[in-house]
Amino acid sequence: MVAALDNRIRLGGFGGGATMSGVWERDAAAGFVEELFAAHHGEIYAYLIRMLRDPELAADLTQDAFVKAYRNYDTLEKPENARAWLYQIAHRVALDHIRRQKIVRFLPWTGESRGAVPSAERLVMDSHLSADMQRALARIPERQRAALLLAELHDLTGLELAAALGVSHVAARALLTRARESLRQALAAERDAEALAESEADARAAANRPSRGAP
Amino acid sequence: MTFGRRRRRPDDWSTSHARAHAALSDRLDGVLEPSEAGWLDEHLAGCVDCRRAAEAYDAQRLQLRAGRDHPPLPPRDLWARTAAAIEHESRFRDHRERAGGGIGRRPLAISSALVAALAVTVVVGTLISSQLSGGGGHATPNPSGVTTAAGSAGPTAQTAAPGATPIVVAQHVDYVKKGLDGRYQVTSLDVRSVCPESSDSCNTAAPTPAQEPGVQLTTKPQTVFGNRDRTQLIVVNEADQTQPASISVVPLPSSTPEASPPPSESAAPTSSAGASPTPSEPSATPAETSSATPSIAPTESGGSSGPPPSIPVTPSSTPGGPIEIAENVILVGQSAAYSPNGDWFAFTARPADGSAGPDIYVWKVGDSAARAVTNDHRSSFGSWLDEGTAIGSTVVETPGTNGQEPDRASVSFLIDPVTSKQVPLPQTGRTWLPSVDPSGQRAVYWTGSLRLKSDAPVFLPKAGRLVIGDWNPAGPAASDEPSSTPLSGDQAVERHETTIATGQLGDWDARWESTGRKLAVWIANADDPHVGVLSLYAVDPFDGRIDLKKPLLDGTPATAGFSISDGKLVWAEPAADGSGTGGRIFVLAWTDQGAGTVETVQDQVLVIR
Repeated sequence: MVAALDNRIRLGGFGGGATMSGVWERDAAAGFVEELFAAHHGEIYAYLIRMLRDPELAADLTQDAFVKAYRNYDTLEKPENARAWLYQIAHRVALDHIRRQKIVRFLPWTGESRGAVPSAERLVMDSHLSADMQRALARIPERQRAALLLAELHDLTGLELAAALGVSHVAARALLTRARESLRQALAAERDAEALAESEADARAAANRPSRGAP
Repeated sequence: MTFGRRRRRPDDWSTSHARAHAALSDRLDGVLEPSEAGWLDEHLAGCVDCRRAAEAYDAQRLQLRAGRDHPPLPPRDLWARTAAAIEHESRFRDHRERAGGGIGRRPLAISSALVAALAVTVVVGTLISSQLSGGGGHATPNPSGVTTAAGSAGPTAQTAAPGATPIVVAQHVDYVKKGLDGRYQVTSLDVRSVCPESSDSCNTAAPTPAQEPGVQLTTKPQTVFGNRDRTQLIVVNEADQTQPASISVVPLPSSTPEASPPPSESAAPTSSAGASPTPSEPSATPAETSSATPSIAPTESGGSSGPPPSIPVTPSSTPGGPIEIAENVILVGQSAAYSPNGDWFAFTARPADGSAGPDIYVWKVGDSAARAVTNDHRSSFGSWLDEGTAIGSTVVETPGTNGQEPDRASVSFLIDPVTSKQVPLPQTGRTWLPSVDPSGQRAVYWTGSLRLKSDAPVFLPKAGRLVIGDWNPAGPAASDEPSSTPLSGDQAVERHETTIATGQLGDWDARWESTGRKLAVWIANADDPHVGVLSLYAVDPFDGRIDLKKPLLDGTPATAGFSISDGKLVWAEPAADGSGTGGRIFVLAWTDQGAGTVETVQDQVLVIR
């Protein structure tokens, strides 16, 4: 992904070299992050896929989030706050990515043919949310979307939510309130759009139907 | 969910309905104060809209929470990828601590993974410094970029600690570097070993300045191509006040890079003129009759105290000198290349005066000039299929309706460089600028529409995708008897296309290692065509698939023009000033044993492709 896009750089895959175990033994931070990964990588990935609606991107950013966790291990004051701290990192990674998005979009290359963007069916399948809910969530501001997902789907407590969003608990409550109202309106708009599409389809069908009864 | 105890006040809300919505939200989270709950009940009793909102909130909560039972499953290799990235980060951190934080030039936030490569590069780079300044006692900077690094703004000097076993790579790298005298000097470097990419450090031999080709360019070239045997360069110059745009061939003195020993201190050249230590070719003899004045001059003909004299181009009479093979033309695109055996050089060019669009040119080594093999002014060179067959693409226009811009697409064809005979390839569908792999089975190409550049008769991608796809789909082999049957059906499916990038690309450059085992793709930034990002992919030798879960190099910033050959990828990072001339040369070298990277110090450098 380009500077304008995403300057992530990765080098690897040549094989050989040092074993991972040697690294872990001399690196407590790595060991801690390994435990953190085992406990939380599934929910972090789930959060990112729900935020970004792109499975490959969600996987990449999950990886980034745990690398950042390793890098910033020293900033975690209390181990019991690790989960919220991890969500905070993932949340920032997601928002950073959204900010960086440009016109040209580079796609993960899987070696398999596939479309430029994940299909609606794939997204529904991957996120286990209905299609209209997916679309409605995509309509609301990212921070509100994050607040709703973390509260309703990821079961963060109020304080965890505030920590993950990097705001005060009062601000987190206000954000949730706005998010619920935004989602309500977005779902209503989705229903209206669907109804309009159906009525237009009915009108077209009626227009194409041969008239009967008139001489 | 439980929030903290900051109690909301009734005057927090602009309207009673807004207050009701907040109370509904708090009620869902279980933090609604009893007094506020009473007020809410009263309000709901008299407000239909707020009752509907309450029902909607409950419904959407249920709908959202339905997703809890079936969370999306992460990919199975996520831990492997993450662990590798953390390992890289760990090694970088160790190195940074040892170096006292002396790297600092590349923001860590960009990447968690390439930092490992940078760690290796800095170690090797500093070894260069320590070896030359400390080990050799050779205080005089020599013309090579590496030696110049010893006393300049290179990374903090340090001694590499014993560590992993170095990987022997035995690579030779040529690049162009701006000298102290303002001229551009062809510079060579022997890279004999690198530290394993996954190790902290190792006792690797430092890259050594190789025998200088002894060639200087008096002006900054736009780009430079080198042939496989390192016997000549093709130098592309843009027009300026003193010279027209031109493409010239510059012979290099004979050299034996693989066999050359590391230069001893006494053998290192000290003159900026860069005279070859072992000149084996006769000096170019300035001819007296010529109207053309190329901007290039071999240093054999110039002294160190003044500018080298211009060498008029009379190809037939100066066999050892530079040859201007095309004048008043502008190189178009990034695809110019020597043929596999190095007998031909093909490129796309257009008249410098903008009077016509692009055509394909070929130059046979030894000829006096390049020759256009198309004349439709809308054709571009894609790549070489084999020694006697080039692949080109031509733009096909369909008139637009109601005064709209014409629709432009492209079809590809084979072309014989000797006879200029073209064979259309309708079975390859809509493909533009295919870069075909050495096996002729797969290619990187643009599929989609094209546009005409606003300020020049040049075609650029409009809407579509840069893909890798089968080059030889079902049907007759494209390389033997091309079918005249157009591709039917869905091209993306038929050709098993996989998207590399999509959108309105500016430019790109895709090249394969001669074994077909590696593919490098550079894509220009949208806002600056001289700078882009470079990626390197490994190709599975059995099924031709790309394991993109582990790209070898993923999106590193690079200037236009890189070089890939067996076992190495060479690129230049963008200069800090944003110019097209790179700030540092990077060499990623690999063998079956692993890979490592070395880099030069900061300078004005240009990769010889």
